[in-house]
Amino acid sequence: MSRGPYLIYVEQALDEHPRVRALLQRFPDVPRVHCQHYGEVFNRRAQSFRLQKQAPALILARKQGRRILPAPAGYGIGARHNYYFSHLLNCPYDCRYCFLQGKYRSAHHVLFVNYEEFARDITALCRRHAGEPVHFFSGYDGDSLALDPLSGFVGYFLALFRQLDNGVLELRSKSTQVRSLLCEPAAPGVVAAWSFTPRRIARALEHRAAPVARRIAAMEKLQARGWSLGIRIDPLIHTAGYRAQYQELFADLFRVLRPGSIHSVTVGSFRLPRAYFRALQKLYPEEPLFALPTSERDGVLGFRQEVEQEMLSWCLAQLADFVPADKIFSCQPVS
Amino acid sequence: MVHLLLALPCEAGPLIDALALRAVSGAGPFRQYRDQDGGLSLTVTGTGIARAAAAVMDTRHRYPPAAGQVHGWLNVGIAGHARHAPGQAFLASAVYEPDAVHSHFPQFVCAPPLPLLPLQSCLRPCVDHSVDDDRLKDMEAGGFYAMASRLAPAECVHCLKIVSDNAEQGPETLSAQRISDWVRGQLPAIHRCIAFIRDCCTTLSAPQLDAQLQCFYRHARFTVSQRNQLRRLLLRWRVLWPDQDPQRLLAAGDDARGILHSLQQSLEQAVFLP
Repeated sequence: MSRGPYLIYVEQALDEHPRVRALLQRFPDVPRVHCQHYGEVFNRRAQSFRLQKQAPALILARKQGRRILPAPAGYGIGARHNYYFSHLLNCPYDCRYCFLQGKYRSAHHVLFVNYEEFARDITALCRRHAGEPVHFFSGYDGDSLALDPLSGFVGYFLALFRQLDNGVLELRSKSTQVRSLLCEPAAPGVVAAWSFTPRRIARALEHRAAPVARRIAAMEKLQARGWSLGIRIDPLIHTAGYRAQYQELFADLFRVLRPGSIHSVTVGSFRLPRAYFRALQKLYPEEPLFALPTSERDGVLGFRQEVEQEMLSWCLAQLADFVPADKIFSCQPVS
Repeated sequence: MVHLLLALPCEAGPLIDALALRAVSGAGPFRQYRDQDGGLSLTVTGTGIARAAAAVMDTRHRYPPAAGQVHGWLNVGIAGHARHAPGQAFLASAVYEPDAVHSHFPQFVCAPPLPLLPLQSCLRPCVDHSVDDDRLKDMEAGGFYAMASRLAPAECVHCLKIVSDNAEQGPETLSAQRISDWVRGQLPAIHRCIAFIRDCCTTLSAPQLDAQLQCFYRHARFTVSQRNQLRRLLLRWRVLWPDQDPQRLLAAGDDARGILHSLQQSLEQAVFLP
């Protein structure tokens, strides 16, 4: 998508939507195809995520039904009320461990353009939980920042969250698209978070994502402008000699980032629902990550429990050397 | 393998010549052709969505894909359009069945090699082209796509249509010779479509383990379930240790359960090495 989409699907009813018109004007030569509902194109039976990932199309749609959903257990960063919403389905990066590959049969980027309706629902939830912080996660079904030059997501939602007393927006990314954040004064209700794996693992598994060093550089720029930052060590990937690799990552991060700039650090193991894991194995039969020994707990596949727990405990202990314990969150219970 | 389906002999003729296809002998409801190396088949379906759908199934039964393999499908033919000039070729961006309820969206994994237009399949020839209607009109794609998309992912199933008539030049101007000429004129585009469909099929086709599996089958008797388990384990082995031969684990007297256990035990030791 860095070169722009090669094909744009548009829901017929959105032809006159200002955000759609602006987007289409940016790509006058890209073929466009009308559909009644994005579901006619996206996630239909018999599509190949792997093939579509080579060159995803852009689908412009309106999100109907429930736009804001309760966040999954373990997704929190300190608040009691946690929700997620997805203005975008899928992302331009091709991380081999990403659960979206199992969740969807399509790799096209679906951009929901009805931001005003998302904003209305977010505002209503903040009112419902008045007096308590409410966290909204925007990078669950896609990267929050990667397509920002296209979507204008950050500009719109920053303005919204500046008006909400108790709403906190988490932007989660692996990109370096921070221009729209740097243009604005830091917003207290916004946490800009980056996901990391050590450099060698990122090179092997996080295809097309910005290199680790450039992600850290993007965070450094935001730190200088006073933004709250999040570090997401998720998923933890077990390798031979993982301690040295993670030590190097933590050293690289905290050489640059000051504890005072850090809003939160989360750590999560590599885990996938069984059906997603099997789908990924079929999609990428040549991928070593899916050929490794795994164990299943409650329908979720991950590294063997003793490996996972050892890694989780070790990483949490290491992070405690850099960040106060009340800013560190584990996505899984630590035994 | 890529299967080409065309309604009329005059559409098929130029392709049969250009691709050096040979008639397939043996009685069947449709005339069929294939190339020498088994990478292409061509079926002359006759007109109408029912015949097109039936021809897809007949072709599928004649050329069943091996386990894990994906075949591609391409419908080539003429179609009417309100404005575009005869001889112009398009790929279908959407295929609408005649009932106006069922629609299909062929998927592209690169910039399409031809311009796109939506395609409406009709039960009868369309003689009145409304200039407001941007859809191509044909009589086969709806049946073709409905069936072929059950056999292969939407990235591997496409419809290429060559405009044959429009609001100014009605279908009465058609002749077999003109149709053949149009198809001949679009041979480079048809070749490009076959190539991108073939690329998609290759990417999706699972690696083959037949030779290795046969070695294990000769060594011990595997039940169907054990054969599936063995296949999964050997696939993992090949990914993790491509340079090591798993047959080194075979010991005289081992039964299937013992072999599977040995493979499993070895794989349990694997660690990710990025």
